[in-house]
Amino acid sequence: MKNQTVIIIPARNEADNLSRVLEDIRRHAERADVVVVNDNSNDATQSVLALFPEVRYLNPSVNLGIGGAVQLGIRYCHTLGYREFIRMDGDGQHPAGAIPALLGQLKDKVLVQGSRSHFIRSSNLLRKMGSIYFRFLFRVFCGKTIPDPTSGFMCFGRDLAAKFQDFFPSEFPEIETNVLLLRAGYDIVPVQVEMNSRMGGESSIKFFRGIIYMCSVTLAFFISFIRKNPYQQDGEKV
Amino acid sequence: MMAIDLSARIIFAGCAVILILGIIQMIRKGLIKEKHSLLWLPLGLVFMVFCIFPELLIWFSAKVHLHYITVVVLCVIVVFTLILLYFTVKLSRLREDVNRLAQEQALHAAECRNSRRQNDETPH
Repeated sequence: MKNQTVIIIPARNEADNLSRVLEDIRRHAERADVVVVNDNSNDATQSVLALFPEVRYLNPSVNLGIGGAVQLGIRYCHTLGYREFIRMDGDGQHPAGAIPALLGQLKDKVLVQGSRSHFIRSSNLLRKMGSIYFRFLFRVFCGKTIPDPTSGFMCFGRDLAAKFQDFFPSEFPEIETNVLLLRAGYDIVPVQVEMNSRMGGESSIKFFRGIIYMCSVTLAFFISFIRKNPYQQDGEKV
Repeated sequence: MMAIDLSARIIFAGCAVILILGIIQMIRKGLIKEKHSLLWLPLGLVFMVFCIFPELLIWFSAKVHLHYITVVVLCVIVVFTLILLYFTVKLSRLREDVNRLAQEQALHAAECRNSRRQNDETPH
């Protein structure tokens, strides 16, 4: 009896976290199959996969980046015939226990996105400002309130998976897909999720990188507005 | 005669010669494909000529009826920008191709693995 649901996990050098994530899935979401995309890790990520024989994996020979890795997973799972797709990160931020809540909101033409519920408690000032900024962008330009637009915790059905197979942005996939999907008439349903925190890096480097990140994401946001929409639904004017 | 120090000319000429030699060396080592050398060798040679004889720049700009050297230099910059743009487009396309190929390779490898696993599990 084959499962209808699959969890796609893009992973690069997540040997420390991956086993925890897979255990978490085993405990809370046994009804879902798992596909890990090992994006050219040079640590022990592959050996972690050997400990979970029921987990399928993909090993691209070239570093695809987050967008390419997720798209690869979607292509694979779409071919295998799954109907419900979940994307989780491999660093342990996304709890498998929230998966039923995400699946509960899944409908046709909908992207369900798990959003962080505790931004207010977030210690990182830049993070807080960033989230306010992105929420503002989406509210003003897309007319939609998305509490956590950069969250990679997503759930979608076969219709969206078919679109993602043909095109999936490589640089900032969460923001770009949100804009393109909204433009094409799809809906984005946020679901509050209690996420685990990630170990942060040094603050000075993070600040400078954060500014560059914000500029790049803003650029990606507006480019997604002007580009030809690859998610355009057939027969509908966008 | 242009009012440029002899030492400045020598330095410019030296830089240009180093550039030409560098391009030739890269071509020899195979770092630049042959069809790209069609672009870089003539470019390097022209650059070297103008570096050694900056007066030619004045003569050239008079010939094309652009009497301000600054405008000529701007035109050159525009040309270089177009060349850069062309290569950027090429690069993006190549990257897409590489990603697509890597994905297909990973999918095929997974298929092989799965059919091997099925063969192992099938009772004989």
